[in-house]
Amino acid sequence: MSRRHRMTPLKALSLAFQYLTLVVISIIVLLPLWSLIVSSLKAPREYLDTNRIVPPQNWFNMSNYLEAIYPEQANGITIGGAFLNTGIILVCSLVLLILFGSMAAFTINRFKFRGRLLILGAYAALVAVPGILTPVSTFQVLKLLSLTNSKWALVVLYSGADIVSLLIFIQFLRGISTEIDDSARIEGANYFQIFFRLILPMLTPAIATVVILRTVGIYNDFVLPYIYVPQPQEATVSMMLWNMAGYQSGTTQAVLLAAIVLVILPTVIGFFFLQRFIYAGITSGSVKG
Amino acid sequence: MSFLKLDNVSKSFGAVKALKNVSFEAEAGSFVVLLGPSGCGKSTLLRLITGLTEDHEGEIWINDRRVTDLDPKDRRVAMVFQSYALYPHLTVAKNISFGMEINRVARADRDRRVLEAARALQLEDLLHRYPSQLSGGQRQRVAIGRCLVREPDLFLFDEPLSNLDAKLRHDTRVELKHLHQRLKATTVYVTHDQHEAMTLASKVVLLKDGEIVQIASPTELYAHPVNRFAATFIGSPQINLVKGDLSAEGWFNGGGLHVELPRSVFADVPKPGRVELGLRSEDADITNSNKHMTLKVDYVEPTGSDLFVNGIAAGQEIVVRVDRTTVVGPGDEVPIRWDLNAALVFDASSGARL
Repeated sequence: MSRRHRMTPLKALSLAFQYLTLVVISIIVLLPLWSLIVSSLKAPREYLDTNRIVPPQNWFNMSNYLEAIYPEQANGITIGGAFLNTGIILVCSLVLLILFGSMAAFTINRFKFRGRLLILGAYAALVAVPGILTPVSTFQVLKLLSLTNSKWALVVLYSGADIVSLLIFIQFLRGISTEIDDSARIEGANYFQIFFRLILPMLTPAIATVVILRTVGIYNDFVLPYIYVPQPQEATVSMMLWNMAGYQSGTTQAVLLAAIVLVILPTVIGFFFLQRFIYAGITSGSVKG
Repeated sequence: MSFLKLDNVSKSFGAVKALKNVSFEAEAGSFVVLLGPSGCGKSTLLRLITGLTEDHEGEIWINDRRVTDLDPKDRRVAMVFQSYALYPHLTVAKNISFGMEINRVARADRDRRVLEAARALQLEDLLHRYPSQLSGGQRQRVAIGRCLVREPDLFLFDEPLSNLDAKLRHDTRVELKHLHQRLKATTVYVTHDQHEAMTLASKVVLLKDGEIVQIASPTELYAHPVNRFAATFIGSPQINLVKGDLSAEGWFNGGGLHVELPRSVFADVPKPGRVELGLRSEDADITNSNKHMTLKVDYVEPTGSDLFVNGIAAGQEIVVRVDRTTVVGPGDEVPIRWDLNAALVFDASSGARL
């Protein structure tokens, strides 16, 4: 037993190398975060005098955070308002996206009809259109709908199911036996009942994957809010940060960093709770759920 | 009037004719098994009875109602699927009551019927479990329970045992048999396993290439198959087929055999020509008195209760089933005597029984 576990010099070296790599990579990843956090806790003077990775004198200096949350001169944006806007946009567009995406996937997967592959192909072809080409026409459409300058424009834009979400749903549906549908039909269920009472609940892992993927995209998106909703009252968190960073704003760097920490916080917390689903989502499809 | 009646049912998928003029009837309380090799159309036939597959020719009657044009839900049939098709996110109780919820049956009534079914199937302790926490046999019982509560006219089973291992397959088969004896529900059961068909059926409908080959009770099917296909499909080990010539006097000559066949094996007078003689493995004895052929033993399969002795006689492979105490080994030459009263004679070209 002890023989098997004895460490040869070569093994020790290899192990040391592995750990060294991990440590270096961790530092590279975590250093900006560390710098962000320590700097956000420094007083204005201290912030200017010390370098970016030195710990703050007072770990409990919350003045920057208070300033970020209750700014002295508000530009019409508060961090709470921005979170609320982003939250509304997220929830509304995710609900619509999941509904549209899973229904489209159900139809494409379960029914054989003319043009089925054409629809799927159209979704796929959309990926090939560079996003930079569409804003002008999209803006025209939104203007026609009187949605510009409103967060509902973003809800409309985000709620369209993309090919990735669609394929995730289709992949999961393939793993759900059509005998489930048949059985429910014999029992008297119509297609809506089959979908909402059986298929949708069974798609939960797929929904979790799509939610995670899309949330990251929507939460971090800057371009679409910047183009369509520049209105301060309707600002999302990314727009709020941009406004704070602007030269017109009187916000100090340390306060901006505090605001950034606050914006990152939900994602980090969310990741710890959802990482189970993230791993599951990555391996899904290949293994039946 | 019979309980289930199919009249000239045909179904095509594009150019492929899956079923050709299938007609049969089943009495109330009978256990009909649709048997056949894979691709013979038996599952299609079952789906036509449920109404899940539409657009067919012919008529289907269940319990004196013409259901040909009815939706699956209006046919008063219940089905147990190959995968059992349990809803994985619902508890056993919810699985059983799902159909009643959909059909807005009052809650009290629902709970009562779930409990009744659970009691009948010994599922009471499992009502709050999820399908993934059940064994294969328990899952089947839940699937049956889901059928029971709907009080259907007809129970349909689509190869329900094919996903189970050998031991469980036997147990659940016994359970099915018990259940049918108790409930007396008219049942149509699809399988490709002759053993299941023989043990469960009161009537077997043997299918091949979308056509009915024979409708008979299991014992009848085994003893009097209508043709070579039916004879070879039923029985394990497979029936021995010896090629040879038949004379007008009823003498068979070929494969090391020169025997006079009893008149009782023919439906009519013997027609001379090329034939195949079907001999079941258990109709053989190893005996020196009046032996019919000599078998050169290739290998012996002990099954516990019997020995299957496989060998070659005059260039043809033959298997005989003998008593387990028989001493015989590879390379031995053993004398065989057949019980010719049980022999079956098939036309060599058409395969029809003479």
